[in-house]
Order: sequence, then structure tokens, then C-alpha cells
Amino acid sequence: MTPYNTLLAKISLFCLQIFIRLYPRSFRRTYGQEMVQVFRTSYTATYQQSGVWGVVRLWGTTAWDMLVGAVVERGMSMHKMVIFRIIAVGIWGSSVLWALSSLVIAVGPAPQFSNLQPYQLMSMLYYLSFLAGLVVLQLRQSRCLDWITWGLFGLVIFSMGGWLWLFVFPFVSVSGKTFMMQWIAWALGPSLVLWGIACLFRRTVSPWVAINLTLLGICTLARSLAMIFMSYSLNPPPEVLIPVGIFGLCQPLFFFLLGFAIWSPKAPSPEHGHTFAFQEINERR
Amino acid sequence: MNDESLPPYQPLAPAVFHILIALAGKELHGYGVMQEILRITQGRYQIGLATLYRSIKHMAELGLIQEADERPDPALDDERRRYYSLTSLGRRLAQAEALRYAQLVEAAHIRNLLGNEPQGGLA
Repeated sequence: MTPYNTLLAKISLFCLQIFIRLYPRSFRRTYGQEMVQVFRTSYTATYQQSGVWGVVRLWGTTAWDMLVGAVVERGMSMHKMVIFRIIAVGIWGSSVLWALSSLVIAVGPAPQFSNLQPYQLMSMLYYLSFLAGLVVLQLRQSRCLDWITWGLFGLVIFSMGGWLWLFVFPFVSVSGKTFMMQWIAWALGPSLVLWGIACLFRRTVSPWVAINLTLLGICTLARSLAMIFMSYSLNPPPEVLIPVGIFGLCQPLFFFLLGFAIWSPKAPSPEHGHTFAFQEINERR
Repeated sequence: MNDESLPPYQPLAPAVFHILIALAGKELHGYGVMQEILRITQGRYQIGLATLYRSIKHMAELGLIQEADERPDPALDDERRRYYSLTSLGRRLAQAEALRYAQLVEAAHIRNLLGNEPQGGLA
């Protein structure tokens, strides 16, 4: 009986074939059969030389190698657009959830809902997907962005980091939390407004994406204004509260629109419009 | 010898360089490459199955290796096995990388890192 007719060999080959199934189809088609052959030869040699313990050692090196290889190959074969679209769907989902939860707090009978863990988790997911969306947007446009927009993007990331801090460390005192939330909102709002305006004037992204970014920034500022009123129990005049409320409620909408910017199949490129600013930036360099 | 016509692939990943060296001697199939690497490194470097085939795929895409047209001994060999050989680009890249290593070894030698007698010191 050849060594690869034993039960151990059959199990080994079965496991190897499962590992190979984890690889992208094109890789499997080209190299799958050959990998099985090489493994069988290695298995036979190892079994004859060192017995069962040799096979165990062989698997010790093979399993991890196969697993890591599968993850890397999958990542490399995945089309970038698939990743973008997963993030866009995440943004849409979280903005819808956020809008619904805001509605529950605004008109529902349970204002204490905003203190519940599921709500806080949801708001964290909202801002995390927002951050992921901004990162993707920036990377997609990076061919035609200059140092100003990169710098502003750094501000956005910096202020988003505050959100992470806020939710990762829930035991900060209430006044500390309020301070951080204010800081984050006031940093994020102007950053987004400036980023949007810079993109708009330099024509480095499509105008509606730039306008969307600007409006998102205004909405964020409006939300932080509303938070100030709420935290100090002020009674603002209606001419202040109404625009603040409208912009606060619009945030999920602009967030939703940002999803489309990430979903869209083409990023602006020197070959497809928006060439003026790109050429200008290159010439300046 | 700096071959400026070479694409900027250096420094090569260890697995890639080992495969290039293994294939520099003769055309080999996958298991043969594994065994050759074990032999030339005296068992110190064992390339994993996935690492081997992922490197082969990558190297074939870059044009460093190719599938050999003729089998070394068709009568004695499994016909499903694929043999790989170096392309001229692969050979030049292997030479450039070997030279880079040789320069590093030379630098290590100058700094007494190869077990030479120490120069000066507290003796």
C-alpha cells in the first residue's frame, strides 16, 4: 500500500483540497492540480522518512502557509471596485439607520434611547463607515489631489480619531465627553467645509462631490451647535434653531450622497475631465 | 555591475531569489524546486507549498520564469508535471541580486562580521 492510500493521507489530501478551495478560481485552475501533486510527493517522502510525526510537522508548516497565501491571493484578486462598493453599501446602510434613530429620538416616546449601548454602537459604526468612505474617496481621487486637500484630509482623519477615542473609552467623565465631542465636531465641520471648497475651486473632484463634502461639513457644524444648545439647556431663538435643525437632519442625506461618489465607477482622472487643476498642479511642481 | 535596463524589482523577496537560484542550474518542476532549495541551503530554508506557487505565479507574470517547452526526460516523468525555466530577464535579475548580496557580504567582511580576527579592540 502506498503511503497516500492510508486514512491519514486521505484526510491530508482532503484538508489540502479545502485549503486550495480558498484560493481564487484562476489560481486554482492554473496551479491547484500541481499543488496537490507536489503535496502528495512531499507527503510520501516525509511519511517514509519520519512517519506520522513527520506528517504532523509537514502540516505545521503547510497549513499556515496555505491559509496566509489564500488570504493574500484573495485580496490581490479582488477588484478594487468591489471593496469600494462594499464600503458604499456600508455608508448607505449606516446613514439610513442613523436617520431612523434620529427620528426615534426626535419624535418617539423614548429620549433615553440615545444613552443605550445599541444606539452608541450604531453611531460609532456610522462614523467609522464615514471615515472609511472618506479614506476611499481620497484614495480614488489621489491622482489629482494636491497638498491642500491632502492636508485638509489629515484634519478630517484627526477629528475622526476623536470619535474613535470617544467610543472606545466610554468611562470618560460627562464633562470630558462633552468637551471631546465639541472638539471633534468643531474640527470635523470646518475641515469638511474647507476640503469641499478646495476641491470645488481646484476642480480636483467632480463638483457635486465637492458640494456634498461642503454641505456635510456645514451639517456637522450645525449638529455641534445643536449639541451646545442641548448640553446647556438653552432656549435658542427659532431663527437659529430651525436652520440648525434642518442641517442637522440633512446630514444623513449628504452622507447617503457621499456613498454614490464612492460607488461611481470612475474617479476623475487626467484623461477624463478635471484636467485643468491637475495639469496646473503638475506644472507648479 | 549595475544593469540599469532591469526593472526595479530589487531587493527580491527571499522566496523569489531562492527560486531563481534553483532554476539557474536547470529546468525543474515544483517539487524539484523545493528539493533544490533545500539542497542548496543545506536544509536551512524550506519553502512552503503556497509560497512556492504564489511566487511562481508572480514571477511568471513578471516574465522572470516560463514554462519549459521540453521535458528533461519524458519517459521517466509524470506528464502532468510542469517544468519551469528562467527567462533571460530572470537570469539577469538573479545575477544582479547575487551581486547585491556579494557586495553586502563584502561589507560584512570588512566589518569583521564573518568570524575574522578582530582589528584592534581591547585585547
